Amino acid sequence: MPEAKGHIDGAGIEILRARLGSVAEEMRTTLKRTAFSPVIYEVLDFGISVYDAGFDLIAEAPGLARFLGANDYAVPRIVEHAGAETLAQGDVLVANYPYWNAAHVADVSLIAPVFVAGRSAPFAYLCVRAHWIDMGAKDAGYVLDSTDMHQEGLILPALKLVKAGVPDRELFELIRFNSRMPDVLMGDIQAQLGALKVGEQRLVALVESLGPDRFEAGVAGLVAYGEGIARAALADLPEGEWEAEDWMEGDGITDDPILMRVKVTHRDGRMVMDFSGSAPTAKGPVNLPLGSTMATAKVAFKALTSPGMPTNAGHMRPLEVVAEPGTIFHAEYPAPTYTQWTGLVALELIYAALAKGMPDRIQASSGGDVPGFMMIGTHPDTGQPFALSNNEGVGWGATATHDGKVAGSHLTQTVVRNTPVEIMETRTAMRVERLELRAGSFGDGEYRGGPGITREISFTAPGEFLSIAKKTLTRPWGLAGGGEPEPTRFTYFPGTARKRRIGTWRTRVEPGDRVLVETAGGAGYGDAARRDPDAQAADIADGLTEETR
Amino acid sequence: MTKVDGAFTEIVQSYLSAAANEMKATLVRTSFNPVIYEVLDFGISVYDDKLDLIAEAPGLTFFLGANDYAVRRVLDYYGRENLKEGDVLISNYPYWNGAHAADATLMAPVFDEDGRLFSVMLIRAHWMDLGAKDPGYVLDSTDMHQEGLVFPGTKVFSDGKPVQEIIELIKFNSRMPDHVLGDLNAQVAALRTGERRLHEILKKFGRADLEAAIAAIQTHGETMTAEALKSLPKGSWSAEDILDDDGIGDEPVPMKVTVTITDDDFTVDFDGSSGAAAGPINMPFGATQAICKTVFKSLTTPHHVSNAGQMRALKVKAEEGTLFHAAYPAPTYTLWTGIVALELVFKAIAKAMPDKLAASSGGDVPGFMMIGTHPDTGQMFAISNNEACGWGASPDHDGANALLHLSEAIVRTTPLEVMETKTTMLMERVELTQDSGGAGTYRGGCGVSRVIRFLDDGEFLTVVKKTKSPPWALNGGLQPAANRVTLFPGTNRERDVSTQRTVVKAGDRIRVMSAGGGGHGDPAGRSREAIAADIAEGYVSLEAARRDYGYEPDA
Repeated sequence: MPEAKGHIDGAGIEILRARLGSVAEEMRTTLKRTAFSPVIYEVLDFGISVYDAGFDLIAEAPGLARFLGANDYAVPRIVEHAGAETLAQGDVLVANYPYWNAAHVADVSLIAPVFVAGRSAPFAYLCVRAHWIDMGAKDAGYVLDSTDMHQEGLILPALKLVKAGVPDRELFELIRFNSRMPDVLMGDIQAQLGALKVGEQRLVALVESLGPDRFEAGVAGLVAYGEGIARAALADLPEGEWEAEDWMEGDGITDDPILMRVKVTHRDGRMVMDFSGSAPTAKGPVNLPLGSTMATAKVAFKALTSPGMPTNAGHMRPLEVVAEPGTIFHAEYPAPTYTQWTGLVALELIYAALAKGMPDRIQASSGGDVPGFMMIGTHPDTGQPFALSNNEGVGWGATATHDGKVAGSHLTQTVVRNTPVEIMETRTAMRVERLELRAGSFGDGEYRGGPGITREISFTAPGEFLSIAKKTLTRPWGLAGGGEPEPTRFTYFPGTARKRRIGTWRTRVEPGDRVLVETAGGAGYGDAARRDPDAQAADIADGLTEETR
Repeated sequence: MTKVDGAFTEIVQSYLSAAANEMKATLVRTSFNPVIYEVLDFGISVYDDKLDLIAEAPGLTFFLGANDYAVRRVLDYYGRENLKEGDVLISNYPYWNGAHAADATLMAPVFDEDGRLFSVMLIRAHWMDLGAKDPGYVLDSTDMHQEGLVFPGTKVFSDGKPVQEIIELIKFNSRMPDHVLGDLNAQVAALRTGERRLHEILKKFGRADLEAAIAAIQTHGETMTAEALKSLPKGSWSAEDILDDDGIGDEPVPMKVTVTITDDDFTVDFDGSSGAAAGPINMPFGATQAICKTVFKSLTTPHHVSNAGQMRALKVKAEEGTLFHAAYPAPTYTLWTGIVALELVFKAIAKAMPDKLAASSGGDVPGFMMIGTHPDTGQMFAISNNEACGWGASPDHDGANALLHLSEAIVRTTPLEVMETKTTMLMERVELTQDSGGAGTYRGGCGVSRVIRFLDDGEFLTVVKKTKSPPWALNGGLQPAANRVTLFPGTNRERDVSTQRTVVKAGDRIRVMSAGGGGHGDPAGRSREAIAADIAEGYVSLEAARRDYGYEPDA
């Protein structure tokens, strides 16, 4: 007996989920294999998402979690601006307008509609977001002190980069002329386009194998299942209202601390994360577009409710995010948004609030921030400009049941990796003199935090070096009586008269200069007096701590 | 038998000039930005299918000369074969466009009835904002990318229709999109006016006769110039000067020029000038050529409308990668170099013919701008003014008082009424500066003193690259006082600056004093009547008359 049109059972839905996941995964592989810029192929600083015609997320590939959440906000807005009705098969939209694209100008989304036989409107959308190496911002590499969007680089509102399969030559030329590193950039754009092409082929094949009606029914079932999982998980959590606040160091223009505040309310099957009461729009580039704030909130919510499952739109349905326009969590044109570290500090702020209601479900603070650095210069061997960054690992916070992880990329970075030493040393004029765990950096506790990292860099040719860290003056927070770790510390020119300790800074460096990077450890959980003596002995044997501690 | 005789050629020339002037009228009537409609900061040129200049409308001479360079470079990039009827290309890539990134050049082809390219028309105008590192004007960029959105040569109209994506791109990349798109449309409207007129001219005269007339115009231009060249002295002369700074450091920047005149050629060589500067004072080569054209034209065919033939004897040399031939990614925003260099070229030639040339006219153009948000409208504004200066005395008369600098041709100052209504500047005083002209047998003209008070907070910037050394005099005349810009005069924050961007608060004052002109000839040669008249008019004080001329009034 033939199945009813559009019917699909649970097994069918699970098979569809896996096949959709592999569409996204193949896009990811294509991007990694073909990108020119190490920030994409080594660091995995990208986000790949697949949406249905109604902009519900139906699949994504592991990448930067905040990029993925940003895609959810960006894709409907960008398609709406371009007009869904104007889209044709083979079109690719490009956009980086921060307030729609939910990120800073350097993150550029390429969006392709997918058409299938028998349907005239777009059937699905693919999005590949990646960091572009240079778009002619006021400074090469990274911008730490912009005061409006226009200083942050070329803005692409929502333009057709490819029309019916034919690249818009003039738009490509325009991008080429407005970049300081056009060859690398053009390579990365082609890699993004390649990933979209692969995704389109695989998705069309998938839809054709099921028929569009069954596909739609399966997707609806998948999203409904996701929502069910999230609601069930939420039902297991205590209800209540919890607040937290923290201070971020400086906006890049002044050193005045910036107030961040969140109130998390869990009631009646909904969780609201409300950033009201946070600082008004900052003069410098630490403002977050709303979509970027939402992406941060989604990372926290997902980790709390359905951490083991690939994400779809259903998982996020019980979450609501509130941020008043004109504050640091809801930037409006022309507020500068380049240094998005606000979102990194804010993830832990959300956890700090949640920890008040459910301390057994939350880990103590994981370094509090992502210590980033970059060198910009001209390579002595090739004469070509380079701009290469690294997001340093931090010690993770301890939980109610185990020690914090040793020096991993921050919670916000998920699968993102640091930049290998070999890449840094061959592509830039940095030499890594020392790279080791930072002894004594973690917070004590019944369960201790993970240690951070110590890295000493010397320079072999002149250039510029910059660091970004927005939480160096206050210590990350412990839980249930656990200890606070050492905060992150950047020391420029240690051991010289020019020695300077500063979190976010850009400066000239000359051959022989050194910079010392010491990242925060994780905070501890529970009273240190209750720590298992065997565990303590193991830490001493591993050189992570000294006996006297 | 051809009807292309002298009369016909003259008629064609007038028709072509009229077309260019109608384009100008359209632009002035429809543009949004006072820099275009009040100041006339634009350049309109018409080229034949070989891209030789056949007509232009009066505007900023530097713009006009730069057009000649830009049209070739941009079309070499874009490909003439890719142009169709109704297309408009935009370009502002400094090294091809011969100017800074804020000058946007729009060009459109004109085809004859058979679809053959007949002409390319070009309109260059200053755009208010293309998202450079600072709003209004950029004084301290260190590469091109800080200077705004760059178009290499991009169709903004295709087949008569706007390319919506490029329009959107401009809108999103400008801090003042309404002004910029308004001016873009004004430029396109002016191109359409030109296109209609050229079609009419083609229809009226026919392509063959027109081309014959144009060839005759070019040949005539070349011949006239060759004759004028014969009357100039032959030889080689050098001159040097310094710019105050490059916008980044405080070091003066040396400039040197050597002019060599032979029977056939007039060569201007900038060898010996500074290499590329760190700050935005580098000149694209097209801009350097434009300066030289202004000088050459004024010496050879000052009274004739320009055409390509008049420029064939001119050779300009500047090594790529130096101050006078910027190479990517050298910053080029503050093109004041060209203004000072124009006088430098005259200074070299004056060595050969001091009895024919005027002394220095202020040496530079003191420009200023206020950027802020208007309290009445809540809209951002950025309004500039190029201050007038005293002109240099010539061998047979005094220099003019307070006119726009030689380099600005017919460009005007921004009217006080416009400044006071569109910004929060209040002009407390605008007057001629007594004793600012250099003494001589013929006296240099007086510069201007202006005291500005701010009614609301904002930013104020000045651009002037010659304040540290006075303008030059000729034949024993005296040098006038140099340009001087004083922030917050009469307060403990008072200081003199040249090129500076500063935050101003309501109640603050700034004083701008432009230089006078250099004197010509020994002051002892000046007549008592002229000195008495100067004193009576207030151009010269009795004290200065005593000091410079040894003058004592009748008892």
